[in-house]
Amino acid sequence: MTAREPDRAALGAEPPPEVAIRLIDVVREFGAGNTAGPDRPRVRALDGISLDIRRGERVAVVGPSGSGKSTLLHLIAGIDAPSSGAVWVAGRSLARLDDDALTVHRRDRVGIVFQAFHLLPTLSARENVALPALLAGAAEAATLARADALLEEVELSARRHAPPHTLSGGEMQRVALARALIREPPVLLADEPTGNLDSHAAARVLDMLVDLSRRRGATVVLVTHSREAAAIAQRRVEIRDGRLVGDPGGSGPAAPPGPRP
Amino acid sequence: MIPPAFRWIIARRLARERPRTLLTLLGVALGVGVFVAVRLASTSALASFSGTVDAVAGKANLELASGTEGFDERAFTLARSVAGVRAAAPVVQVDALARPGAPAPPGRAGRAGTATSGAGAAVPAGAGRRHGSAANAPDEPRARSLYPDQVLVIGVDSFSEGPFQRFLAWDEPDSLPAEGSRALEFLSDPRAAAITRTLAARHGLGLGDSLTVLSSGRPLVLHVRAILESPALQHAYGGNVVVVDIATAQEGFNRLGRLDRVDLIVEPTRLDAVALELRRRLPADILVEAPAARSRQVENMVRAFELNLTALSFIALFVASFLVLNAVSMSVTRRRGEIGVLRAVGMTRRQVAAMFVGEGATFGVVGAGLGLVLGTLLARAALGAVSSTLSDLYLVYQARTLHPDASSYAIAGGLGVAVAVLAALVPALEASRTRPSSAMREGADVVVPRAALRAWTLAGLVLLGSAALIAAWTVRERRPWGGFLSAFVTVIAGSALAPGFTLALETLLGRPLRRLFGIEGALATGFLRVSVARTSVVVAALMVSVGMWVALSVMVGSFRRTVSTWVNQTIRGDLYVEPVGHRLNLSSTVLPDALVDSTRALPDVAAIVTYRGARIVYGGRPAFPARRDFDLQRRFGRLSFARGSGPEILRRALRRSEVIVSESFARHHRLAPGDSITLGGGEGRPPAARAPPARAAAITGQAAGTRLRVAGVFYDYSTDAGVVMMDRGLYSRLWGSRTESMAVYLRPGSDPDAVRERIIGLAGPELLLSVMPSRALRARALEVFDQTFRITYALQAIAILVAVLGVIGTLTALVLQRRREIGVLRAAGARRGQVIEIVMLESGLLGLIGALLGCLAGVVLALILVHVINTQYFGWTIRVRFDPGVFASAVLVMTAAATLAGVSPARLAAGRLAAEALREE
Repeated sequence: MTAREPDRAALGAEPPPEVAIRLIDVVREFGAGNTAGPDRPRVRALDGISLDIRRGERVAVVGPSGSGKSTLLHLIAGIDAPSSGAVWVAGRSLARLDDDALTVHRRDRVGIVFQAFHLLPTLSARENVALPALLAGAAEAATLARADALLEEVELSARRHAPPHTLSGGEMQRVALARALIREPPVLLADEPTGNLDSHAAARVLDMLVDLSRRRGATVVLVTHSREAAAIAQRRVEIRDGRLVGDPGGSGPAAPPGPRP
Repeated sequence: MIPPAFRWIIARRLARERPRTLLTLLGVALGVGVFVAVRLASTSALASFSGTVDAVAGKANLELASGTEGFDERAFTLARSVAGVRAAAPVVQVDALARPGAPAPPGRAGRAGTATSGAGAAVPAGAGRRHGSAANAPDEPRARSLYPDQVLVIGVDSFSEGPFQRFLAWDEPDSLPAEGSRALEFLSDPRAAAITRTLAARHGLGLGDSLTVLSSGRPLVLHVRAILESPALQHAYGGNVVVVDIATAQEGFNRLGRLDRVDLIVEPTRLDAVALELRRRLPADILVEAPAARSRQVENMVRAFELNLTALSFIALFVASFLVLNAVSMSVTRRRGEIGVLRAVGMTRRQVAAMFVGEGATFGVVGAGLGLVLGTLLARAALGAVSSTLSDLYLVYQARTLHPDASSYAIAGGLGVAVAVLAALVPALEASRTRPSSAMREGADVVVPRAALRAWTLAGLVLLGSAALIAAWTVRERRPWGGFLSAFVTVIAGSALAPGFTLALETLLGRPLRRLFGIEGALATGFLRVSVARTSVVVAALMVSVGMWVALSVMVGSFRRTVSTWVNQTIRGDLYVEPVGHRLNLSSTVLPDALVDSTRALPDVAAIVTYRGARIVYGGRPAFPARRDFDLQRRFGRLSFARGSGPEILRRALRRSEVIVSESFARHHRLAPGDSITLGGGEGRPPAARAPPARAAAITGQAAGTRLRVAGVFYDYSTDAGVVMMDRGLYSRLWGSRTESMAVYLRPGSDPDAVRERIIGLAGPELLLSVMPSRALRARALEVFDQTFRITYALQAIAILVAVLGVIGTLTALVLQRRREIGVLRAAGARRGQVIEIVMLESGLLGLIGALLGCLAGVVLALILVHVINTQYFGWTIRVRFDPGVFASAVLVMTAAATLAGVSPARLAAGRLAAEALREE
């Protein structure tokens, strides 16, 4: 892993099977202020990030607020697109996917857990969990049964019919975790999953995250600035001002061939 | 199956936000309801007519018919002799007033009246149906109480009726007077009548009872000898059918030697050949057609009226579509965060769009369902108004019962759903374009970029220009739908201009409002500014309602002033005299020549102008020839001409035996002074189909195919079917010299009441006359006018109601969306009253902006209504006058209504929501 100058020749290079996520020279810029046109100032949220994450690896992305951590996660999730550079997830370049394919990517290949839970208020806990599978056209009864099983895994069987606003923060995040796993995605993304939780609830959610992802062999990318949360990761990647500044695990064997020094 | 995403997300939201859902449903239901009501009412009125035609036609598959003047009875003998005609039956048919029992006491009824000159005479058609009367005379309600019912009297020849099997359905042995084809033989008794079971039941009549009918001032007493049981006849003419012997009808209704119809049964394979042969051998003013053709003529005649009502009923539906657009837009805005989550967890763009289209479709399906029920109820109320207007304007029988037809329901329901789905499509597509990354903020409003605002405004101006071009093209090319298209494009243009207009007015009013209402005023305008994408939808809905309100008020007001001026110019005699029942039958009623002469001889009478009019078919459309004394008209009348001096045109017409035609006749048939028309033996036919004049004269004694030059075009507002006016000498040559009504001009200083009593005295107790002062006739003419437009006002009121529902719905949603800001306001020290004031100010401001834009749109729409649509369909010249009162009342009423619509959302904002928002923060 590197924060050095990107190797442009490697852009578009398909990563080997053992690499679950590959970012090559990724830049993400946003417009700033209310003015329009070519003179509009641009803010560079990510500035040439190149990164490989191996299959089954648990990586924590850390850094101060506004450093670009969540932007990085959104790019991997296919929620956002880079201004330049390439993002590969589970063997596919996201740049080559149209909107429908990106939707399928979000639904089937990544599971996302948000800091603010983002459960739908009109749906019960089990319906929230079942939603991605139903959107994929899965049979309702079987999906709901599967949702119940997942809720049991996150120890919320008793609350499966509860609407979100009656759940505690920890419970809501466990529902969100179950929702993220219902499609058995190879990659699990968590954006400050414990940011809104007390320490006890946070510990429980983190335990479950580790346990469930390990059992499924999922790759986990965890964005956090909590020391406790980062501790569950096998590897820590630090971002400051949109650049990678630290990656102790970056010299591992599965590092991609292109961008390496 | 309904997808779980829709059931769980949309359906639950709709159920949870019940008031908002119900408001939108009510809007759609009203829109669909009004549409179905108008359609049912007008189709029922027409179905009633065609049902009557079918029922009395029996097995006839061809008929000989003419206008209201009838034709020579020798045509019957001729028709019977044509090879291929299996059976022929002569018919005389009149509309009559009726009462059970003996005639009303002459002393009372003799001064009553129900009639006036009809379409062909001096005043608007129907102007006397329910007129007022002189101070000491019994009035129309009195006459109606004396002869409370209206019946269709059919005179038949019992020896010819057998094969037609129309009056022979004697179901009950008790009422069976004879057997088989001899069933009607009892009618040889000159006073015998067979009446329908419905009529008998309505008045408690049985065999042997008396029934008095009145069609031309003279009561005719009939004895009920049989009850007609045929199911079809129980619906014909509302079930009020009376069958008498043809000789009785000819004698009793001034039809000696004349027939109204000859019904024929022709071998089906030879139908065309027989029709051709009959057309060849008969004078061309006798129409040879299938019975259904009569219904088609009436349909043609009332099409413009029906079309305009339908167009008006679209307004409510159109406004309802804004309501759905608004509701779904709000739904999208409020669920922006949820859409982001859904997109993030795997919902495709199509699924997002489908979900919100589904929301619109739900409003459409449920709203349309409710609307169909509501529409049926409204139709019952509208039937009276529509039917009575059709009857007043076009002399079509008044429908009594509603005929709910599946196609009306299917069209209205389909339109309701389609409009709702289309309206939902815009916000649904917008929602589907939501990017998951930018959608994580709950309740984020759509900020309208300046570029988009400019684009909308530009589009609005371009559309406005297009509307003007379409209007100009319509006027030049006479395209039937162009006027409506131009109006529609204007409304769309107004909608496109709404965001720019809202922001411009907000900028303009911001400072004065701040000065007037302090910080509350500033906050209200501020809220309006940030939510302009949403509020401009409701501004557009208000614009449509107010625009149509202003346009209709300007059009109707201008029209009324024009008609009022015309009525005052036209009705100039001091007294109008006609037999009671005249209005129902026009030229078949007769004022005896002796009465006309003796009235003329009265010392107080300066002059008498006699009238006669008929309904004929000219160029495939009904038209009304009318007789005037051109010399007297020139001296006493004040006909107003499109071009040229009236007295000069009349003098020339009299000298050269020319006619003058009404403006609508000229427009429909594309005529100008100097052109020629063919009447009296060729109307409604291409020249090639006309019979040779010699043969025609041999049967009818009339001139056939008389070519007449048009001397001038006069303004006339009696009927849009068109009037052809000619001097008495010319008219007599074509249709005979009888008089059906007269205007009496008195010498200065005479007492109209005294003369009136003298005329009634001259008529004697046997002839029931209506003698009306011109003042009453003028008032009645305007009363008919007002009644015609009453349903328009009702439709308009409903469109405004739907728009106000939109204001309530929008404000409630805006308030819900803004609950955090309101909570912060409360936390910062805003009192409950202040929050209420802010929301109500905003609401009132919305109403004001919508009303002002509506006034501008209204001016354009009024010009289109008057100069394009009216000209195209009715051919009337209306002098447009913009009454400032109309604009002031529209702005005041809409601003007040919108302010009041803000009460409930304001209370919500200041109460429960504020507390919730504070807790959330």
